[in-house]
Amino acid sequence: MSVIRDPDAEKLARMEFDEVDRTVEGSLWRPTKFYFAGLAITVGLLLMFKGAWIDQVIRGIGLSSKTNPAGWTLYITTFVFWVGIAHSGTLISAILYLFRAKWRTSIYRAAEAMTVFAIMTAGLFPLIHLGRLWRMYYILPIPNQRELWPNFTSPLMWDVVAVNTYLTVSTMFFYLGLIPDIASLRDRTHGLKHRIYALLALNWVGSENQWRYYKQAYMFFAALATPLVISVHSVVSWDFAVSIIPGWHSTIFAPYFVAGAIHSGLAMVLTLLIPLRSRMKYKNLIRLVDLENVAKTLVFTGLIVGYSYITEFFVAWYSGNGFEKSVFLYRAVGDYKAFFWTMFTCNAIVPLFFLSKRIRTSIPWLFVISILVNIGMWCERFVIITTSLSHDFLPYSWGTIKMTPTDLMIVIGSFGLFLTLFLIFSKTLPPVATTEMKEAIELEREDLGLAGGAH
Amino acid sequence: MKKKFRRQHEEAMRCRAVSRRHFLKAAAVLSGIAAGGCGRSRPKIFSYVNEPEDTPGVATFYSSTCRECPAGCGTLLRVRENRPVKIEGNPDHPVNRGSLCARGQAGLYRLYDDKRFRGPLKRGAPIGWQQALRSVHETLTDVSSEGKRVLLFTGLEDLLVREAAESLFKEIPGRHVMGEPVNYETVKEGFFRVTGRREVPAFDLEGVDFILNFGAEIFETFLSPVEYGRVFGALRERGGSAVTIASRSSLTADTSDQAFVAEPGGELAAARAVLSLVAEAKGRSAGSWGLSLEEAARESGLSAAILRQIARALLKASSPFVFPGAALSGSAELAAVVFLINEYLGSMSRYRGPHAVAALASAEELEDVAARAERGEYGLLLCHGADPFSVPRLAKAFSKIKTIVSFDSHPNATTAAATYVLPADTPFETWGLYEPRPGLLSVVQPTREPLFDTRPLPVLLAGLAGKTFDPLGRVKTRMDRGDLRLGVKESSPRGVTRPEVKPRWDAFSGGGGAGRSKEGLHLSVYPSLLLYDGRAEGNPYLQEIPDPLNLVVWRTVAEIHPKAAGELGVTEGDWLEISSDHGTIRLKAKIQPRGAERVIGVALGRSGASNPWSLVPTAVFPAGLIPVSVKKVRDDRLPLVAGDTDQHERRIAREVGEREEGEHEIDPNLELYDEAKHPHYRWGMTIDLDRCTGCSACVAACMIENNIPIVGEKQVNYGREMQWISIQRYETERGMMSLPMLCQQCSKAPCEPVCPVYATHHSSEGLNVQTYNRCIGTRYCANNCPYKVRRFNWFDYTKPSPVKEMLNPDVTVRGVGVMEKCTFCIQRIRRVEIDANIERRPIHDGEVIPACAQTCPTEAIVFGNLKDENSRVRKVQRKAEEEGRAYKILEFLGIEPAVTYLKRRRNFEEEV
Repeated sequence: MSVIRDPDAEKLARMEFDEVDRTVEGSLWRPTKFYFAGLAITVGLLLMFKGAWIDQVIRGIGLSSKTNPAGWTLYITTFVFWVGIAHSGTLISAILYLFRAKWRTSIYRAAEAMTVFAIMTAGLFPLIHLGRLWRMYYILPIPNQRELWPNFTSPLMWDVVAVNTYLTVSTMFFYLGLIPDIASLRDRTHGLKHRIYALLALNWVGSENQWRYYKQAYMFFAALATPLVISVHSVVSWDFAVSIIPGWHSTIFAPYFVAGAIHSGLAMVLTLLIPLRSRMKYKNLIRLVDLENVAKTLVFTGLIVGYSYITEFFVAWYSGNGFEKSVFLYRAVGDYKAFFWTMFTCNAIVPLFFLSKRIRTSIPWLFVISILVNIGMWCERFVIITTSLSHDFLPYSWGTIKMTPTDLMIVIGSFGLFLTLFLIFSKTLPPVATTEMKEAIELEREDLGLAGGAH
Repeated sequence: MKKKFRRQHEEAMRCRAVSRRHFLKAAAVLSGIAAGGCGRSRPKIFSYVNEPEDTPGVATFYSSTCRECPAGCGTLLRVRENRPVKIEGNPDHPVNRGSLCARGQAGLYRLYDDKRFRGPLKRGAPIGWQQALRSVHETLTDVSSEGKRVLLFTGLEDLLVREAAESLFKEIPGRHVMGEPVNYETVKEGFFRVTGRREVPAFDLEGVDFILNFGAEIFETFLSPVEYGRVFGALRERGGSAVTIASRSSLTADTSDQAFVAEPGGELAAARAVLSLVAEAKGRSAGSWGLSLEEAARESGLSAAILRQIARALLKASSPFVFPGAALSGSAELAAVVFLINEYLGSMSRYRGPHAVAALASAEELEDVAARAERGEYGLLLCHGADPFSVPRLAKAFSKIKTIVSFDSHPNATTAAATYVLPADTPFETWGLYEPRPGLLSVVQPTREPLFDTRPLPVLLAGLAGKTFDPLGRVKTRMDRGDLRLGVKESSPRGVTRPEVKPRWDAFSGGGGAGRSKEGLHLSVYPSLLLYDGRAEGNPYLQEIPDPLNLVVWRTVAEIHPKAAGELGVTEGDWLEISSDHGTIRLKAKIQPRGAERVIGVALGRSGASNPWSLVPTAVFPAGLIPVSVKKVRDDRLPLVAGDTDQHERRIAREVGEREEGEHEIDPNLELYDEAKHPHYRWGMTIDLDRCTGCSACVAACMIENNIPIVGEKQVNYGREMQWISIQRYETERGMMSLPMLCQQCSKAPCEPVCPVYATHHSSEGLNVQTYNRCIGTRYCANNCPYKVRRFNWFDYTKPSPVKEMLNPDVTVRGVGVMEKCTFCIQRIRRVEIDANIERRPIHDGEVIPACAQTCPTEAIVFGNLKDENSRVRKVQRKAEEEGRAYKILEFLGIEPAVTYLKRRRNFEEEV
């Protein structure tokens, strides 16, 4: 029996099970005016996204900002951005599960939802940036009447495989984890809702056999999803690293991108959870200490990202390679220097504010810094992609881009897609994993030696 | 059982049986459709009554002559299904020997220009030919009854038109004047002062090994640029050199081994000093035209040492030749001195007679015509080709003429002012005979019946006098069938004798050059490389090819020295107002460091606020430079097609003798992948940077051959130009170089492994092949190309009718979202391969020649099979390797490009 007690742990242990149920399941359905207002905005953005994309397909990809020499600009930037965000969710739900980190319990469900929706949004962008979208099926490795396979030496092909694998695994993992919670909702609802939840719950009754299989399956999925966190974003980074363009052709890209992905994902988790917990009144479930732990991890990933920046610059100078030096100098002082300095400040310097306990326990600070980190991470991908292409081997071909309305509508509109899905999720499926919360409460009581509570 | 069967049987019968009603309904509908198909006249696919040798799918070649400038290069028109789809130079023609410049290549557009007149117009409204001709006849009657005369104002026309005009003016009182802005009057006057003959001399320049040039734009627009390009190529082969002394920077100056910047108008002083030195060495007299070295050094800005060195080089060369000053800003004095130098060097023996441009009207004659028009002497103005209403002096004078008839086939300022437009055939639809110099008859041959409702010009002119004219008959009397096939007939010129040199010493006005003063800024107007004097302004191909000197498209700029710009507070792109005593023009500034500080260069050819015609009161530009005042009007940017012309020590455009340090080492052990296998052919190229003048003929040829889309100024300025070959300009230690950049067809192409759908892959003949149908437009290949030669179709670029008919049927037209790039003209390779396979033989060297190599005037591009050790390309490559001149761009990347570049040599170095 410990004398010094962690007040948060004690509070958790004293929570009753039906308090968890009431808080979470009571917040579902019953949309408020505020919710509808938010949904209206996100659906508006979604419609803007669709409209701009349809316009681009009809009138031509030339409506975007891409040109010679920068053939990839905002769309691939945003693709990598969304894939990166997805990785953090899996980190929290799968990797931290394997590490048995306690602070993951209340946040992992929302994080996993973020993963699934982010990867869905990301998966659209390789289609958006195609010149001939209507022929995209050429890239699918399925037997076809043309008797042609796609080219497996191409990193874009690896992307197709990696992103689809990630989407499949994340979705199944997400669904698996939801099953006990959906069953619990099934038992508390009537009518149509009941029937839908019943269908989704797959005859979950909570028997011992079912629990045993469930736990094994969950462990396997967590183990399966874990390497994907590293591999998928490494593969995405190799889109650039296996090319010959100075500024892209660099072996640091795989760990650099993975660290950056987790960095941006954690920030997005904060951005989503802070309004979620206050609007849905989850403050005693998603505790400040959980958010604080996210912030601490952000410091860690921010340091890795900052280290990567410094390494890249150092290697560019140390290598003596004129082409490499030129690109990096161009990034810092050239046409896109605003993006570069935003990136550096927001990703490497701003997270260091979280070293102060006061800042990392203050909700407004957490929110603001998370937004800044996301802006910085988007800028990082933009800087890597666009500046390297704009400033490559032959000076005659150097050129800049100008963002177009179509570009911006699609990029900003993708947030509409993501947030619409997330908003709908947050009111129809439990954004906090009630079953695991109850498990956590039970474990905490055992730890503290309190009487096992009945539910 | 039986009942069931019966029921089924009945049902089956019901299904199969067609009721009477149903049958009648169907019959009515079907016959209606059939009836609709009848009665409409079938559009003509083949327009000849008696089919010549034309076979669908196989091209026929017709010899003709290019009429885009007075040079008179011979052409071969490639005709497919009775549509000419490509122009090439005629290899048997003595002027151009198979090459053709950018304006000639893009000139095919004239036939298919969708802005062309479809038929006669009266004040913009369409009328029929009968009615139009009747009205003009009535006007003629009125004119003669009023006692007025008829003025026929044209450009430099061919023999048939001139003969028709002669026969016209035998019947009615009038005059035929041929007036063009680039009339080489100063050259004519200069030649007169030396020989007593008022003509622009034509020379045979074969074997020349040293060229001295006082500003003549010999590789761009001066008189016969393709011919001079050929001469330069041969000169380079011989190790000769070219030196330019000029106050305005130009492609010619950049291509020369050395270009010395003269003070404005100082070319004359330099020429006079050279004359003194040459005359002294040859024991002849320089008379009052000579000048001391000290004075010349002061006035020209060239040091005495350089002048001496140049004179020595001239004297040492076995076959030197000196060109006069620039076409529009040279002076008669300069031309006279130049011809005398040529005489003393023995180069006058190359004289071949007067060039056809001698028939162009002088400034005096044009002023006389304008004055007469203002006095009301003319009642009818007939125009063709000259566009006098674009010249303010002539527009003012000719607007006094009551009736204006224009025979132009394309809209211009004159047709806008005309009462009647009676469009004549373009040179592709009619017969003609052009004589660039005596004894050289070049035929203009039609390749199809007229596209629109137009008539041959000589027939129209003779018809005005009620006479008939048979163009084909006249051609046949001078040329037999063999000559017509060849396109050219060369005979010894009758009545051409070597001119006697009798310099008119007194005809000199004294020191200095025309129009030069010590202070202030001067304007040097020159004919545009791509638009010439404005006749090609409506051609979007020429507008979209970047001006190699200024790297802009769809725009004329004012080329200004950085020092002058600094004094005015001007940066590149700012709007300038340039004013003379007579008018003002507005242009964006382009910083050009390689000219004289106080000279501003402006190209002629673009109408509107930038047109330098507004600055002069006369019908031709006055000799010499125009004094102007310049002020900055507004800040702005100038989008260039080049990102940067500074090479940043990347060794892309190389010269012999540059510093070797910092050379990237090529590690031969860095090969991870197998060598690419090419069993039979490996197509490759050498590009000799020693010879490239930057004239962009290759760019124009490629655009026409490969159906390159036109995207417009805004898209080009955004970087989305579509040309597969581009002339890149790079600064080197000693000047500026032109580098043709095209797909290098690398053996280990970085674009190939990254395409997710195998749209680009390596062929067994060494080409990097792009499959348009397979491309889904991810653009990874373009990203991974280090040369950035891949072009993407950002939109659907459809050509309007009838420009569509100009499309080469051998080349796929690409739609939106598809990547394209240079294919080494694979359609030509395939065609020859098919023929070779049928004949069971290998492809001979020289049988396949891509469009760019075919048209290059200096033969800088050589194409062939690298596996054939006896091919010309391999021989050039080997020789260059021995000389240490061969290199590949970005060779250290290990991607094995198939294009070998040859370093530029400087055969004339300024002695220290």
